[in-house]
Amino acid sequence: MYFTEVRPVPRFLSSLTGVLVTDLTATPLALLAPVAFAAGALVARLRPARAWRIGLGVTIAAPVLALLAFPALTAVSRVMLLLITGIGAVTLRFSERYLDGERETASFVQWFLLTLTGASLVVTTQDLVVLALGWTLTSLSLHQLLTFGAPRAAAEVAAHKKFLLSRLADVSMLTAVVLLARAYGSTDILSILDQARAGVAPAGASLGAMFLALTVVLRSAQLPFHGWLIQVMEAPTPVSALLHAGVVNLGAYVLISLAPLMLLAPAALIVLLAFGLLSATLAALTSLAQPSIKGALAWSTCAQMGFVLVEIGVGAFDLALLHIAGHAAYKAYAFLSSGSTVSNAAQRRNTSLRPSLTRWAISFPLAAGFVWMLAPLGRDVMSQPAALFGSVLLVLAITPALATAPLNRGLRALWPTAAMMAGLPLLYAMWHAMLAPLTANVPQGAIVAWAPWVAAVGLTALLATYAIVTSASQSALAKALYPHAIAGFHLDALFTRLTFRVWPPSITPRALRAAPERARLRLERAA
Amino acid sequence: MTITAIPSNERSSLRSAVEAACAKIAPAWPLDRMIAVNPYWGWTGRPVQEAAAELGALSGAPFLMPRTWYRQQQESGAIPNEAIERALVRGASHKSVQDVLTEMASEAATLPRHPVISDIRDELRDPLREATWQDHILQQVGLSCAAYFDRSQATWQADATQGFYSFWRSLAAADTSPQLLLGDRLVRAAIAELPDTPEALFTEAVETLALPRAAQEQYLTALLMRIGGWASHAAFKRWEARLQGSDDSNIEEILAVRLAWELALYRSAEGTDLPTRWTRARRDWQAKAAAVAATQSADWVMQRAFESRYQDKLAAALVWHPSLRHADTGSKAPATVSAQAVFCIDVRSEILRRHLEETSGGVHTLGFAGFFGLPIAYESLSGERRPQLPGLLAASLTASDDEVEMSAARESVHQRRDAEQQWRRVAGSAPGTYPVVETTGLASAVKLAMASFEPTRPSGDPLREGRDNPALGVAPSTLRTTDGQALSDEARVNLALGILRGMSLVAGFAPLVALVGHGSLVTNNPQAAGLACGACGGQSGEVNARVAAALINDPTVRKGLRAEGVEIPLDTRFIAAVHDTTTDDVLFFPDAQTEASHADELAELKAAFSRASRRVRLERSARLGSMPKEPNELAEALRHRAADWSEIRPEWALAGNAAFIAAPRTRSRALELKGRAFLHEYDCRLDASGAVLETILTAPVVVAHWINFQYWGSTVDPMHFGSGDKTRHNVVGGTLGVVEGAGGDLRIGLAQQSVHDGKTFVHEPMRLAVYVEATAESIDAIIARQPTVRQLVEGEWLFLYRIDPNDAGAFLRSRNGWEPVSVGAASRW
Repeated sequence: MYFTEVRPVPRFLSSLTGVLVTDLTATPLALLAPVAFAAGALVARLRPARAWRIGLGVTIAAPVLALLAFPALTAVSRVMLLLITGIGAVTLRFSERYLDGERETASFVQWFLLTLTGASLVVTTQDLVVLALGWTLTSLSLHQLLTFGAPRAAAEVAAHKKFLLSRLADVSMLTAVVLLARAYGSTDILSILDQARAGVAPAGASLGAMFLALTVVLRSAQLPFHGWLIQVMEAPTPVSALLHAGVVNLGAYVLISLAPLMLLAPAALIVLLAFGLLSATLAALTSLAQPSIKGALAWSTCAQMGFVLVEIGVGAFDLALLHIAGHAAYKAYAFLSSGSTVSNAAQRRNTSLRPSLTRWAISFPLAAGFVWMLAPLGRDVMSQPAALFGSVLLVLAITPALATAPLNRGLRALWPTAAMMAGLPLLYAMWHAMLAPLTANVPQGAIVAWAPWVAAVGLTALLATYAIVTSASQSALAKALYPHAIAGFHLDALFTRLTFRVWPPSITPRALRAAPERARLRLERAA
Repeated sequence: MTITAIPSNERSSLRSAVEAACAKIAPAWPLDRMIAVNPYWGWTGRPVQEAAAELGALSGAPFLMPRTWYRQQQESGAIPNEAIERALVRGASHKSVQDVLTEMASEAATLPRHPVISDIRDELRDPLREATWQDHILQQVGLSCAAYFDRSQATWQADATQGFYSFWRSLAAADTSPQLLLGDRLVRAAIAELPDTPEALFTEAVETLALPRAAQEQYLTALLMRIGGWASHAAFKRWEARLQGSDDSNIEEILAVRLAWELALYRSAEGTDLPTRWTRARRDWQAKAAAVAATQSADWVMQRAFESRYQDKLAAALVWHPSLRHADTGSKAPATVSAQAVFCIDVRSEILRRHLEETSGGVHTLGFAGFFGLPIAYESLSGERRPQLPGLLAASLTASDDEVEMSAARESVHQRRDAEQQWRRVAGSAPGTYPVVETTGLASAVKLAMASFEPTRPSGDPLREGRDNPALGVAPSTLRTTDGQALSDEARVNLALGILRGMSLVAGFAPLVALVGHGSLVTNNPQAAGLACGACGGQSGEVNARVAAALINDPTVRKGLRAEGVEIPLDTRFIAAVHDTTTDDVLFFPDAQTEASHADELAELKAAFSRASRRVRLERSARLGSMPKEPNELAEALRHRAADWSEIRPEWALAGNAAFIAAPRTRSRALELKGRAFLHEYDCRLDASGAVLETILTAPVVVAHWINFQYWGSTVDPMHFGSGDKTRHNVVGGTLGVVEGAGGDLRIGLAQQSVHDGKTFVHEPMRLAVYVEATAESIDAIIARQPTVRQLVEGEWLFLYRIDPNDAGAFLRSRNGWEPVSVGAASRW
């Protein structure tokens, strides 16, 4: 549980994490996985007929290579590399049967492997320039996957929007790298972090951090730059899984691993908090109103990434790391199994678990009281900004558990509620104990004192809105919000129009043919 | 806003135009009961070629394959010149074969399409640099429909207490994207000015757009086709409501919404040259259908030639096949019939039946609609109710699991459901989802690994949860009428009698009679119900087979049957079974009594099925890409395929369907029909009144025709009547349907992956050929009595062949009566 930073870690857990934390010596071993992916991509290019066998072989081997590379990696890198190689293995395996009969699957495998090359490079390199290049490689290769298969105008427009934003992000990242390299006299991440931990903040460092934050906002599909993330479901399902689970969270990784630097730039953290909170609230509401499974999943990614940025903004780096790992696994599974929606729907219908507003109003203070009781040093909670945030999270999960508890069906029916109330704090305590040693220490005063309060108020407002719109759908608030919420608050429309104006996507004639409405228009005009 | 008084006859003509336009849209069932529908059902009142031309003019929908395909067929010999010649003669065409081939050598002209206001507004936009109105309207109306009809997906549900038109207005009024996305400042104001009700909207729009009466129906149909998927969903709601004796007007509300866009786009462009362009565009509407018909005529000849080659050959084979005589005289009625097995008419049954007969001479097979004539809905332990009968019918009975045995199971199912439900609520709440994903998200890593590397067979029917023990049967005592009354003995006897007569099985019972339903257990497939039994409403036929077997085994029912002259020997037992069409495993559900008294016979029958299944798998796997040849490995590979969550083509389902044969099995027993024929047992000697045949022609044949045209539409016109690329499918509303990608229209019909293997079409469009062994008089009487049958036959939506019961030949029903089919091709079958 996220109560204090000084709390001793239970011994068995610390020995567990001790395995993960060893001295770091940058060796070529670190690049084992990206090199393997790149080699795979190359061989697949030379032998397109055997592309699947090569791709599947490399992706299956990659998690093992990741383990071999462990001694050369930071703890955060290890977590991320395992995650990316794991998602890569599962998703490419899924693609083999799923894309059966599609044309040009050999090039799909190549671009898939190159995307993984870039992503694994980002999480293993100890050099800022390499990191930036890896990130760009990820984005460019992913672009090819997004437009894979029979050309589709909608897919091309979405990919084009992503392309524009990614190039903007490239410029922002380049600026950050230049600023940081000049400030710290090195592009070596370890050396920068050493200086940052010592509190060295030369001129340009905090501006560099600010550009880093902007890069991440752009690359994490935060409102209002989110449109492409929603629309890339025009690509095949496994591409969505790869993007939502393995790529879109790279930004958060970069911030977590550069945490000591970010802590020197409170303004950058506030920017992250602001953008994050906007997405964590608005995109969450939009996700709730989506009538399609992939729509709901995509909007939820936008919201979840916003939430991660909020966590980073309040200095809860360990929770942010946990969140991207948990979210990656959950979202990859959710996308790949989205075809089961129909068979699952049989179990979902016929249910009317919509607690009354009164139930909600009572549950919230009860949950708050319960969490307060759990904190043995209640006053410390208030003095530790990040710890306060962790407690708020518990309240936000326990409130709905209490509100949905079945009260009229005897004690036995209450076990799920009890399990959640006991389990969630325990899980938090366990994860925090395991992960806190892996991530940066947050020195006293590094976080603006009001930041966690802003986050807490924002998320509590979201809870209140959620309670009202789901329990009182006829209320004035629900009716007024709904038309905007379902349309994503119209935030993408302007951006799309600007894209069309500034740098129109080059929709291929084939894609136009595939979109008969547009094609006809062109033909009729030509005639 | 002024509403001018409109004369009442004008208003009623508008009313009938609206109704006629809505009637053109065929219903599309939701995914959990995805049954095949002829998407052109609303057009079957007209001859098929006429409908195709009109449809093409209205929506640009191609009705036939592209010319390159016909050219390929001609070059490969699938369309020989004599077949073209015959098609020309049959179509009373004055063209020569050479004329047709010359015409086919050129590319077909693009079909013209009636422009509507949104098209005309888009003419001023550059589709490469700007968003278009058509795209925007499709997205906006599509999202509105999805949100309005969804009852399952969204946590925050739309307010569906109002009509769809009002709901849409509330969304559109708040939508700033016309201005932001399309740069139009006037449309939103025009939308705000729209009338309050659909009726007022229809009147006002027709008035403002100056639509002449003659053009109203066409224009409204063209508009509805622009949002044809969602219109089909609404047509389904109407269909179901009307089966229940009520009505549903959502389809009219959707039409009103699409028309509202037209009106708003028209009004916001007043002062431009739009009205002039609109008048000009409207001028040549009537001529277009004729133009399309002219461009399609050669293509139709080729299509007919392609079909008749197969159809005539099969007709001849059914009469003159050499081995048929042998089967008829020599080995007919062997001394012992050890078992009879009644299968669904589904084309996939044909393969299993053939191999079963070939490997076990003592097993006789019959074909019957797989719901076994039971008009039931099944009620699960958790209280869900779903129809288990063809979509043409309404369920009048409810079958449920035996109360006494199931109460404990029911309790545990309920408890688990409640716990899961609460967890889902908490995990899906905002912002509760953040801490939940944070703490428990990694658990999905285990699920990911399991699904990828250790897939388990799907647990099956989600509604059959808690019913895992196959020994626990659905008992016929639980058959209830819809008002909850137990079914009377007399009604049960009549039900059983109807079933037996329908399958022409009223004498000569074997000791064991298996009623073999079918289903398909696949994983992670939104269109899985499309692989199951269409006659059972897109479900497994298990429930129906079990209810039917138990019903006929019931001593009281047996007694009643005896009184009606159907004497089932005491030692004859009916048993239920299910054929899994993905793995070709057959699962039996004998009751305890049969298991005790017929242990040996049962073991023998199971062994016979198992022998047959091995051969079926081998035959079927030829179409499934590289599969192992060794029987056990192959069976394992197919089971793995069914369990694989990434499998995009678990089986080919009814692809290739082409024929329907209603005759005694002896007629077709010697023929290898390659899983292309629906086989219905029919013995005209037992049906003097023609009542059984009338049922066959009006029910199973129509169902088969729906399947046939579902495949047709999905193959020739995937844009309107197919559901597109399965890898992009996005399930809407939990079960409503799929959209392709992020949104837009609901996609109905079959995915591209269901008709095409990536290189070539696995289903080739071929109208159903129905072969009936009966006298000309009995068939003609039914055609005269049943308008649906007449329209389908005379409009050439299907072809009707008659096999003479006295072996006097085969005849094709044409406009001129029964036309004899030449002997020619028989030996080549």
